[in-house]
Order: sequence, then C-alpha cells, then structure tokens
Amino acid sequence: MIKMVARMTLVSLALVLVLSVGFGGALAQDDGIPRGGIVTVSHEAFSVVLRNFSPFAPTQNPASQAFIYEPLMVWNEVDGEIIPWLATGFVWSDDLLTLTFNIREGVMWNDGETFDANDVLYTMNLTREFPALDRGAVWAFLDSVELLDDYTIQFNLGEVYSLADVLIAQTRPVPEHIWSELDDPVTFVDDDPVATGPFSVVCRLEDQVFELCANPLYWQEGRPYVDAIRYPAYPGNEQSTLALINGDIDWGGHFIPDVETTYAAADPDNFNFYYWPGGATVNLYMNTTKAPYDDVAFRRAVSQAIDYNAVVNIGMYGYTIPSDPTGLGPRFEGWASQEALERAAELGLNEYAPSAAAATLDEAGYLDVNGDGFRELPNGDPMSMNVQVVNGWTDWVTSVQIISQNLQDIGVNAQVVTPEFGEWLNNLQTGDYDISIGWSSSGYTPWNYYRDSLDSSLLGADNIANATSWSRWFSDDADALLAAFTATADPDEQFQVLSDLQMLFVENVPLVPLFPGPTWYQWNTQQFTGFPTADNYYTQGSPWSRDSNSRLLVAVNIHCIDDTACGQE
Amino acid sequence: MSTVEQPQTAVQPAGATAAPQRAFPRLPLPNWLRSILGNRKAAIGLVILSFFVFVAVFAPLIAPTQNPNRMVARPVQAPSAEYILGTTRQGQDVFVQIVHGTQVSMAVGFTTGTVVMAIAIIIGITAGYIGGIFDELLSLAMNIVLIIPALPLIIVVAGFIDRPGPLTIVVVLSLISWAYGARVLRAQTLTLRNSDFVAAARVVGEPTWRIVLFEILPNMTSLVVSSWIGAVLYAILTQASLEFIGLGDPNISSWGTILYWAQNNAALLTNAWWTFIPPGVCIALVGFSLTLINYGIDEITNPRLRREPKVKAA
Amino acid sequence: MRFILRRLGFYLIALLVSVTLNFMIPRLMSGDPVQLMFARFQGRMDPRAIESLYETFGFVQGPLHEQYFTYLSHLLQGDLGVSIANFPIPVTEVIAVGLGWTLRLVGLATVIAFSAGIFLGIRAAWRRGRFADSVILPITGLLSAFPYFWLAMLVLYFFALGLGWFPLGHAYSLDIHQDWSSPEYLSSVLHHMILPATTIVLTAIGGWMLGMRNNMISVLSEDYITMAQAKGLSDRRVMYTYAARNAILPSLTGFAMSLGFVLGGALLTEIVFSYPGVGYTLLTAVNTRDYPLMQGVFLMITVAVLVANLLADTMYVLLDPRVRAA
Repeated sequence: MIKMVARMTLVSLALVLVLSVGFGGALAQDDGIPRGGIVTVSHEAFSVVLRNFSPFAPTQNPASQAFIYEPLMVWNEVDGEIIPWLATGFVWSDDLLTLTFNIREGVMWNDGETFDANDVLYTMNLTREFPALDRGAVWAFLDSVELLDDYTIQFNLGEVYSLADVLIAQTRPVPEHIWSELDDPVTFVDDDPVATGPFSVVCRLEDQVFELCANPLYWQEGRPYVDAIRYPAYPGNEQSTLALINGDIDWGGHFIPDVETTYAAADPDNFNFYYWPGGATVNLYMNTTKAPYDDVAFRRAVSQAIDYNAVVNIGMYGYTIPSDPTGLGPRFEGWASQEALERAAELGLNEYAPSAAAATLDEAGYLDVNGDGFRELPNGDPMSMNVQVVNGWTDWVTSVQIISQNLQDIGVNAQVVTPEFGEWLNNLQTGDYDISIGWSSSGYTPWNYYRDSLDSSLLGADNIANATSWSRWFSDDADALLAAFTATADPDEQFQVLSDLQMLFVENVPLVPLFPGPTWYQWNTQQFTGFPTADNYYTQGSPWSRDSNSRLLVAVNIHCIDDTACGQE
Repeated sequence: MSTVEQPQTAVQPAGATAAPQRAFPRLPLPNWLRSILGNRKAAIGLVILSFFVFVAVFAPLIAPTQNPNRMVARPVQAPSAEYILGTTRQGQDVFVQIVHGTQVSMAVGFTTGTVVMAIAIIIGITAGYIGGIFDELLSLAMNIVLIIPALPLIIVVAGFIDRPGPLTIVVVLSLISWAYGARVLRAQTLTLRNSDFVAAARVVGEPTWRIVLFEILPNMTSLVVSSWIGAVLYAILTQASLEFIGLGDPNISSWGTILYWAQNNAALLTNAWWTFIPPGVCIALVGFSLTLINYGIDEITNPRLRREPKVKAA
Repeated sequence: MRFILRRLGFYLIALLVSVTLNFMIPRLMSGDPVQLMFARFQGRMDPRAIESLYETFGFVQGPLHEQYFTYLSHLLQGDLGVSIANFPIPVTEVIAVGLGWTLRLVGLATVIAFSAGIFLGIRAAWRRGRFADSVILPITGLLSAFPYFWLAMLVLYFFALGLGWFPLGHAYSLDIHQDWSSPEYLSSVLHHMILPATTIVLTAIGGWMLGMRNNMISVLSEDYITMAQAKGLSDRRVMYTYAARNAILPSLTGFAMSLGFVLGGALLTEIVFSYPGVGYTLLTAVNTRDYPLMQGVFLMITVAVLVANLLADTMYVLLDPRVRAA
C-alpha cells in the first residue's frame, strides 16, 4: 500500500482565505482535522478499468477532469460564484475583446516542476494546433493568446462573447515540459499523468479498481485530508446500489429507486442522500415542422394536460419538483422574469388542468368528428402520435407513460415508443419523431438552455438538429436575443435580454419544461465527513459534476471523522 | 452473442426415426396425443403447458383490462384479496400483468419456434436432399448464421421495424436461430436419402417435392417436433433475457418486462418479491413443461429410452 | 487428409463472409458514434465542440467502401484499430482486460458443466431409474428452464446479501492487491468465482446430461456392448471405454461450439455479479456504436468458433473413422 501523507509546502495564507469563501467558512485553521483514509467514489457505470487519464480524451476518465487536471477556475452551481483555482482572477477589457487571467503562483506539477502561465499558453496553443483537442470550443471565439508575464495571460477575442470568461476558466492546463515532447498529443494515452490536482498520483490501477493518491506537492496547504480516492467498477445501478447499502461506497452519484427505504434506512445515522433539483431541465420536445405540433395552441394544450405532480412523484420517485413554465429551475431563481411567469399563468401553462387543455383544443378546432374517442386534426384528418423516450431510462419511461395517459384523457391518441439510445437520438436529430422527452443544456447562466434549444444556427448540414434544438422552432427574434446576451457583460442588460427570451418562450411554447433534473448524490459518514449536506449545501455535492468542477470543492474538504476510523486502509 | 445460452444439445433429440405406433381403437384421441398421455413425464408437461396456454388464450376474460400496464392502484402493495399478486412501484396490478404477459411471452415463444423450424425444415432438408454444391452453400450459410452477433442485430432490426418489442425479438431470433435446427435436419435427411423406401420412391418416378413431403418429412416428425419444442423454450428464455437487459418494449407486459421493471425498481431490496418471483416461476414452469414433453417424446419415439426392466445386471 | 483440407477451405470462406458481416452490421445500426458521444454529455458540452469530436474520429467517417478496405488491410496487418468509446486506447487492449476473466470464469464453467453433464449422463444411462436418472435428471432439466439472470439474482441476494457467505460482486476483493503470485489474492479470486461459476454450471448442465444419457442408452443396446460384456470385461471398462467413448461423439460438436462462444463472455453473469468480461465490453461497444471495438470482439468470437468447429471436425475424424468415408 502506497501511503502518501499530505504534508505541504509554502502556500500563502491569503490563498486559503480566498478559498474559505467558497466553502462557507468550513475551513479550520488550526488543523485539528484528522488525516488519512481512502474515500470510495462511484458515479459512473463501468466494468473494467482502462489506463487512460488524458484530459483531452473525449470520454474521459471521470477523475481526469478535476482531480488530476484542475481547471483555471471552479464555479459553484449552487450560488453561482466563480472560485479562483489555478487562476486567481480575470479582468475584461472595456471593449470586451480582451480577457486577462492572473495565474496562481506557488503551484507545482506533481513531478516538482513549477506551474505558470507558460503552461496555460502552451495548452491554449495546443488546442489551436490540434482542433481535435479543443473540447471546450474556445477557438470558436478566440483570436489569439499572449503571455504578459509568467503569471499573467491575455486572451484576445475575435468577436465580443461575454460568456468567454466561464468557458476559458474551464481550461485544464497540461504541463508543457511533458506534452511538448509527445509525438502525437491526440492519441496520447496519459497513463501516468503529470498534473497539479489534489489526487493526481495514480497509485493503484487494476482490472476492477483504480486509486488516485493525494498529491504531496498540492498547492493548498494541508490538503487534501484523505490519502486517496478509490474508484471501483460497478457495471450497473443494481450493483452500485448493493454496494452503497453495504457501506462500500462513501461518495456516490447514483439513481436509487426509493432511496429512503432502500438506502437511507439501512444505516439512518450514516447513509445520507440529497437530490438537489439544480440540474438541467428535462423537457417535452415537439416536432414543430409537422401538424399539429406546428400549432402553438396544440403545444399549449399539451402543457395544460400534463399531471406534473404525478410525473414528479411517480415517474421521478419524488426526487425533483415541477418546472417553471420558463424552464428555469431553482438554480436560476435570480434570473426569473416575473412578467413572463405572470403571462404563463394567464395562459395556464405548466398547470395540470385537463378541462382547460380540452377547451384549448376545442377552440383550436381539434374535435372528435368521427366519434372514435380521439380528436382529429382541424381538417378532419386522423391524429395520432408517438411519444418517444430512450429505452432503459426507466424514470423517464414512467414519466412519459403518465404523460401519454394524460393526453389520452383529453382525447389525444398518444402512444409511448421506446427506441434504443442511438436510434432515439437519430430520430430527434433528423426530425423523425412527433413528441419526445429529452434533456437540455446547463451552463453558467440560463442562456445555454435557450441557446441550445432555440438557436437557428444549430440546424446543421443534412438538416441535423444539433444540441437540443430538436423542436426545430426557430425565429429571428430568438436569434437576435441570444446574440444580444453575449454581446454585453452588463448584468442589467443581460437580465433584460433573458426576460425577453422567457417571454418569447412562454408565448410560443417551443418546448414544454417538465422538471429540473435531480443531481444524484449519496454520502456515507461511517468514516468520512465534510460533505455538503442538505442543511449546509456549500456546493453541488454529486461526484458527477462535469462542467462546473464543483466536486473539487468537496474532494479537498472531505476528511476522516476521527483519528481512528480510517486507520487500517 | 452469448448471453449464457442454453446448451444447444437441449434442442437435439436422441435422433431416431419414428417408431411404428400401435392403435388403440376405443378412445377418440389422435394417436400422438394418446402416446404422450401414456408417458408420465410428457403428460405432466402437457398439463402444465395446457394451463399456460389456457391462461394466454383467455387472458382478456381472466383479467379484463384495457391496458395491463395502466397505473391503477397505490404503489408497492403486498398481495391481498384485491390484488392477489400485489402492485408494482408504478401502481400496476401484477396479476393482470402476468396474465397478459403470458399471452405475449407464449406468443413470442411459439411464433419464433414455428418460424425457426419452418426455415430449418426448408433449408435443412433441401440441403440434405439435393446435396452437391447446393448443400455446400447452404451449409456455409448455416455456419455463418450460427456466429452472427445477435446484440447489434436486434438494434438494427428494431430500427427497421421502428420500435423494439415482441416483433423485433421474433424477427431477430428467427433470423439467427434456424441454423442449428437446419444442421440437425440436414444430417437426418442425409441418412434418410439413402434409405430403401426413398430409393424405392425414386425408382417409381415420384417427383422430388413428393418424396420430400411424403416420404422424408413424415419420417422426421419426432425430430422436428422436439427441435420445435427446443426452439420455443430457447425463444422464451432469450426473450426474457433480452427484455431484462433493456432491449424489449417496456410499455407492454411480458414476463421479461415485468422482471425488467422489478429489477429497475429494486424489487428484491425493497422486499417486493411479488413482482420478481412470479414471472420467473412462470417462465421456469413453461420451460420445464416443454423439457418434460421433450423427454417424453424422446422416450416414445426411441423405445430404448423407455424405462424398462434392466437387461444388464448392475 | 483431403477431408480436412476441404473443410479448411470451407472455413476460410466462412471467415471472409463473417468478417464482412462484422463490418456491415454495426454500420447498419442507426446513429453516429460522434453524435452519440456528444449526446452523452447531455448538454454539458458546447455544441460547437462537436467539431473537435469529428476531428478526432475522422477514421470512422467517409465512404463505406473506403472504410471497408482500410479495415481489411489493417486486419491483415493484425491491427484492430483504436476504440472510439475508449479513445485513444487500442481495441486489443480494451478487449484484453476482460478476456482473461472471461476465459477463466466462462471457460472453466463450460468445461465443468460439460464434464459433469457427461459424467451424470453416463451414470443415468447405466443405472436407469436410479438416483441420477430419476432425481438429478429432472432437477437439472428444471434448472435449465429458469431464466439465467433470475436465478443468478436470487442466488446473489440470498447467499451474498442475505447470508453473507459470498461477496456481492467483483472478481476479487478490492482490498487485496491484484497479484497472481499472492496466495491471498488467488483465494480471493476463487471465492469470488464460486457464485457466478455455479450459476452458469447449474443452468447449463441439464442439456449436456440429457444428450449424453440418450446417446449412451442408444449405444448400450449395440451388439458390441453385449459382446464386451459377454467377454467378461468389467462394468467400468465397458461403461467408459466402450460405451461412453462412442456416445460422447455427438456432444463434442456442441461442446466445441460452446468453447468458441466462451470468448463472447457471459453478459448477464458479468452484470449481475459485477464480473469483468468481454460480454459487457461488447454491450458498451454496441451502445456507443464503437465500430472498431465491436468488429474486434466479433472477429475474436468468429475465429474462436470456427477454430473450435474445425477442431471438432478433426477430432471426429480421429475418433470415428466412419466419417472419413462419408
């Protein structure tokens, strides 16, 4: 067993103070914190471990993204705060065409070399030279990158793009002294990563488990508190649920049916879960290039016909709440437009009212002319539809089954179909569907949600609807608003633009928001503590967080409950 | 693919021509049925199977419903007088699901078995009887089909049919499962082709199709029937497995999908055994009944297999 | 010899056709691996970044015939390509991790099921109506009628979760380091293998047993058996050397096929018992449209089944001279 004791070198106290803001003051200065222990983490299904930690691998090893290669900055999804990490901050120029990042001093790669802005510059130029590595698509808006000094780097934008800061902040620098020696960085299997992260030492890698040991040179003094993070292989939900119940997993990100009785009840004192409804909104998409989905009255009727409480409580096991009609969940409360919400209430959107839905259809001419119990199109043609959902996503399948029952109740002949994932995606992208449940995009602001579903430029070659633009509902107004948002950095202006977008959204119902996605998160306090709890949810707790990297905040904060509990392993 | 397949010898009968059957004049039963009922194993098997066939046929009367998957009750209720097999996490009546699931599972099993045997008969006998290059080509096809990967094929077929479901499973299993039966029948045809009575028919000048249909096929009845039963069993079990890994249509009720939902709702962890145990027992009972019938048929057609006073002293 | 040469040619053609099918079937599935990969990020990747994915996976784009010939020429050089879902790890490496476990678990279970089935079949036929024939035979028949995953899950819940006699999953205890020279590790491997192997054996044994029993009974009524007994040879000798040797022939082809299919893994076992293996690798490849990985696994199974068949054919010729005449 490789034991790595986290004993750290000189890091400025100011740094720790900056950090403590992000942790809600959970940081103890006098270091009475017990050390040691291996935290077992599980959130993705896999059955064997493959040795590849490249931060550019398209399907990354879950650990490479934050625990090994760290981002410049982390953002906290819960309060929207951007937390300095490898960069200490950034400044926009007045014309919004240059962005300057200050790089943290005193950070070392785990091989002892110094990390500075040269590495960031190298990484940026690498992704320009090899477009196959530009996973953040930053070169879509960047023009060039230049070094001001060893700890200051300037990004020159080709066009105004006010969201560039958050995107660049997600850059995970790689060490120039290693990567510049490579023949082909694209196919580089990074089996022994040189990185800055808190758990960047691959100290165990076997067929069914790998462990990342604490980086002894980590720049945050005294952290991380635990010796290592362990990732065991579980091929499916059933197996990880069993392991959770058995107490084998300390930090989980799994869907568990009836989590209260299956998991929490097994050890009520130590088995905890909290499914923060702050994930991206799950929506009902309708193919607006076809009748009757091209009729806003029909879409409005669908929004009125759904029993949202049943969907949330039966389909989603009560793990989330119904969505606002604007599609913005509790995470974006601050962006909500009261005007748009009032308008939505007037229209009766997102409220279960079968009679109102039936009235809306009657008014728009969808009547049961031939008396078969189902409504026909206004022109008298028969109307029936398939509601698609990915096979195997059982919570969504149940949700859609409820929705199709709701639609049948108001005389709309809707049937559930469950294509396999690839088939389903193809159907939605090529417009070969009627109605479907689907995810949407999350981002630092609600802009991503609207952009990814409404931006007309997402309709690509071969008529493929990219991102979540599956409804194929596009308008010049929407395009203009989306562009206006990124053209300004003024919060008030941005708020106004987003309010207009919300209004446009409720007027046209391009998609029907159902519920914010729950973020699966379990933690076990038999050995470790320091996790975000329902009462002190200092950041998004799921080990799953991909884009915000907020799990880093958790990883450096977890520690053993006392000096004896984590001794043996 | 090989998801723990049933060993294919289960399909393979002892291999013998039909024994001449004696006539029992009194009962108005067909001979084959009388032989089966006379064999204890086969009789038990037939009784179990008949029960399930009965349930399948009269499902709408036994458990009347418009849609067996309708959410009708409070979720996760243990069996009671009202819901004799309890309810699922989605509030569906498990008894209703099982009864209607019997219909789907049996239909898929028997349809697949029949299609598989039809293809196997046509290809196996043609290859065996005509022989030559024709035989070589068909044998090649059989060997290739035996190793076609089933998993992606299901997705391909589901794509063409537009949705996964019982029909997809019937088509895929039929496409890939005929080869084994065809191989067995081909071998049997090869033996029969050289037999005296076929030679006699050829000398008399009977056309090929008549020889195949009236001379060869009737002499392979027991082989065909037991291969057919094996194919039905294989289809029922494979359907359940495919549905279990999520390649079925979760909107319909079949034994496999009930199990699929039970597993997804952690039925065993929440002690909701009533959603997990009954469908498995149903599959096993039908499977066992088919196995018993096959034992019986073997014994009837191959008198050596019948239990008889031991000739050899142990 | 001519017989074997002809079979060899026959297998070469079968291999060629299979290799082509292995190329075609994955590509007939709807869905583009790159779009699927992007979709799996579920809105966490910027839509513009899809360009970088297309840039990375240029090797599965382009006209089909070009891809096909590239595939063939690479195959001839022994290059199975790079996995898409596990980019940039080579396909051979991805398969290799699961393959060892598959060979050990499924291979062992198949051999045990076959040997036990054959042995029990011999016993059942030799002593008709006794224990093996009247009790074990129907029980194994019932066991093989259970859906495998159902039985496996009950076994897991009862013996592992309930009684705690066996681990809940994995191929070895994750608290022990993987080290084939350590006795502690080896015993952990064995302990973890018991439940999965037993479930496979239990569901597979019935078929072998019945087949062997029936063949054996047919053989036992042959004249040469009576002759051997008349000569006063021991029962044991007659049973194994005379009867079983001939009765086993029809089961051998089936056994060879099963051995070939071992390489495909045992998907349901791997899922229920969190056991590593090729089956799950293939399932993931199918779900992610990882064409190179699917091709690699199919090729391996194809070659294994064909080789096993060829061996069975050869063995048949060696054991049964009559075939040579046919």
